[in-house]
Amino acid sequence: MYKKINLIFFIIIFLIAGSYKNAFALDTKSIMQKANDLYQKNNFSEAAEIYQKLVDDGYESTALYYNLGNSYYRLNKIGYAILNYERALRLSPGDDDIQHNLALANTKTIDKIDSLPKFFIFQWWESLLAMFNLTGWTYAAYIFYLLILISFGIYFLVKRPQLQRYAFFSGILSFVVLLVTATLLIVKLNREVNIKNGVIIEPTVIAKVSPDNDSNDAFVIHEGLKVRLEDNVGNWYKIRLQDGKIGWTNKQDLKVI
Amino acid sequence: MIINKIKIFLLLFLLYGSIILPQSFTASIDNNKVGINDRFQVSFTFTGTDINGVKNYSSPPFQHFLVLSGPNQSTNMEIINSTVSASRTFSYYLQAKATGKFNIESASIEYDGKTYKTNPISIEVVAGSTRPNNNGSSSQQPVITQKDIGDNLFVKATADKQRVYLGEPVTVTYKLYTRLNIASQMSVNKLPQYNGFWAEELTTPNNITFSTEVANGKQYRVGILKKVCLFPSQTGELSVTPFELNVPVQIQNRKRSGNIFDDFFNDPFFDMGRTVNYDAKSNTLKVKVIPLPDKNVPDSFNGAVGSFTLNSSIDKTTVKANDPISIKLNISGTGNIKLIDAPEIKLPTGFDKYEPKVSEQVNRTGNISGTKKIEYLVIPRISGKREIPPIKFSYFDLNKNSYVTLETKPFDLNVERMSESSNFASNSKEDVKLLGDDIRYIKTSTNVEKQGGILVYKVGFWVAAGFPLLLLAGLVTFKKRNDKLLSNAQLLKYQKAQKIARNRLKVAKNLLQEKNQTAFYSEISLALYGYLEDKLDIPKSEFSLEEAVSRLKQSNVNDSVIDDLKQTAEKCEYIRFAPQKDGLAAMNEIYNQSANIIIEIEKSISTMRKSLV
Repeated sequence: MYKKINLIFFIIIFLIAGSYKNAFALDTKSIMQKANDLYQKNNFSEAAEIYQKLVDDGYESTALYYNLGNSYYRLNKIGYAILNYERALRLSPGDDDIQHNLALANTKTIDKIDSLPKFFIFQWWESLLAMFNLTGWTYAAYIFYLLILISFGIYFLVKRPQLQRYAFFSGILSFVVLLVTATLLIVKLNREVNIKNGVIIEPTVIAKVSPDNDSNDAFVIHEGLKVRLEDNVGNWYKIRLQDGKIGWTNKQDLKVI
Repeated sequence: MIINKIKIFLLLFLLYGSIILPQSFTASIDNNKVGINDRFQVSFTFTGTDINGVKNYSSPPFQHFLVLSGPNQSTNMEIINSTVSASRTFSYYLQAKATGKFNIESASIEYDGKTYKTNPISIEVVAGSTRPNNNGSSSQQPVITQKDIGDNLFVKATADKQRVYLGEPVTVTYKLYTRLNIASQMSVNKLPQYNGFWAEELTTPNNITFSTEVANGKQYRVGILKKVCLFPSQTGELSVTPFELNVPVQIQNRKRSGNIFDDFFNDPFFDMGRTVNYDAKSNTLKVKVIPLPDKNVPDSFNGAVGSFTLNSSIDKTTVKANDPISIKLNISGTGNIKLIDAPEIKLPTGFDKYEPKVSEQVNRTGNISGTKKIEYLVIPRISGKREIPPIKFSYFDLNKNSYVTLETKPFDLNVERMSESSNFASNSKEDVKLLGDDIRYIKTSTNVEKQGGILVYKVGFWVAAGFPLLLLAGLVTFKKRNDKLLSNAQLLKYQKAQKIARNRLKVAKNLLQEKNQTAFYSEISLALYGYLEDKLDIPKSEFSLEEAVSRLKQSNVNDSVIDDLKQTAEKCEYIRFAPQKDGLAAMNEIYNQSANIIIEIEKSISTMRKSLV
């Protein structure tokens, strides 16, 4: 009987995972391969075009964004490079290659805005959050949820005291881990949904004090700067810099990560 | 005799030596009764052996007197027979301010740790002069008072306006009026002080040229000493302190009779005159400065008053980013040109500016005019078409009595991107450890997925989360019920007994139709015995018909049913081992009997159980 239950679980997980596979996998694979080959041959502009087309068509993957970022970096479009590295990092928060290239691209930007040094506990928290992307944390929470259910099942369905004891403790453990993963998931979800960041793609952008071309200039920022988007009015984004400065920019001056 | 004389002399000598002269500090005055126009001398004299020890002289306050000179110190020393007597005198020349009786307070001095004070002196001041000036026989020279000269020689300051706006120029002219001959070069005692003004001296000829002018009914020769243009920098009543001059005046010797000034036109060359130094002092000027109107004051107004023109120029309009541009501004006109601040240049973001260079040229003839040149150095940092907005300059026009704003044309700039070589971006970084590094190679994975939404927001996720939970709940409930049943195996067996028996009977019926006697009877007996085992809770090993019957009896089952059971059981046993030829009817009978028995037992046992429960 338990074998049957396990089988059902596996089928469910498989179904969820399977629903994300797209039907045109073969087609996109060959397109990616073509772009990768172009990159290999130092034909960065064409490679970037193909990668960008895939992105515009609604595809994504760490490799796609990362490769597109690399192509833009080679084309000296630092703003777009940083934008795509940031997007790739969202899918694979812990990826070392992305972090390296992003850091390198950031050295080429003009603005140097100091952010306050973070307390080490927050750094730990951040690196913990960066272990998985949102989907990763969803799966993690789901797996521990299933583990709890399985432990419960064993506890109630199996009449051997030794096994029941193991099931009980593994259930408690899974519950604690689930609490942690669920917290991380919620935090991550909150960031994903409520906190939007953008990257400046125009060489020089003059941020205004209010969403109006005639208003006073607030500050000048340059291509490649990551800003937080706090609001939008018409064709304007309200942006916040890392040092806390607030200004408004035209929507075409930046791209949302 | 001689010895006696020597003795006396010695005695006297010793006496002298032993006498310690008392220190004294006395005040003296040359005349206790003075005229208001008279000068008089007051002296304070300290007498003692050692005047070097004198210190901390403090003069009395002369509230009622003008100190014309002093304190003048003089020291006198006498040595008589090696006895030193010395004196130090502090003297003053005073003139009374008013008539009446006054006291000159004591002066004090310190000597050898003691303080000496003079006695106060009283003095009487009367109108006029107490000096005898009529007994000419005693003095060859005529006495000429300051007032006499003052009537004939004075300095007059005049302002062209008494009431001006802040920043409006006032021209002050100092004129010397004289009816006397000026002996030699005049010297300035004290220049006027222009507190609250910015003063610009207008150029006047080096030599004073005299013209004639009538003042107070008398004819004077008049010369312009000094002309100053004053720009008030504060409001309120401002005053200009007097201009003090020392004029050496030539006074002719007086003839025996007649007025000293009668022979004004006498040739001075043949006249044995004498020179008197006269201190001439101009009047104090007062100017009332009112603030500029506070209505319609332009933002760019910065205190300029007068009338000005503005023009501007730019050295280039097409420039590379980071190359400097110079914008020149000329403000010219009359007014307080020196006080004009460089107008603010409002640059759009993306420009750096430096402190403007300012130079000025001031023309000081007649009135103050000139040109102020301002050069702004501006560096564009951002490429693109940029506009430098007009520079505004405002002044208060005194003729129109209103503010005037001038502005330059806006400058259109075409800022080109800076040359590639000057890459300041990477130079301005501090920690550029990665600069020599390069990006890592692309990822060769070719997997891409449709951009998915957020998993948590999908129905599938919640279904996938809810389903196992429901499954578990179902399983656990099922198991719970199962456990309850399992925990009472008897009950289960009891409940199942009828069901099993029925199944067996069904099988038996099939066998009946197949006319398989042996199998039929064994099945029937199995059905009966199995049913009894389960229902009466008798283990298989202990089962016997007798046991079953006795238990049925205990359970109050009808005796007729028990008898039927016995019969049927025996018949079954018998036929199983001795099959009959025409057994179909018998089989039918047995089947029906068995079924009946089971139904009957079931009925009675269930009623019994129910009554028990």
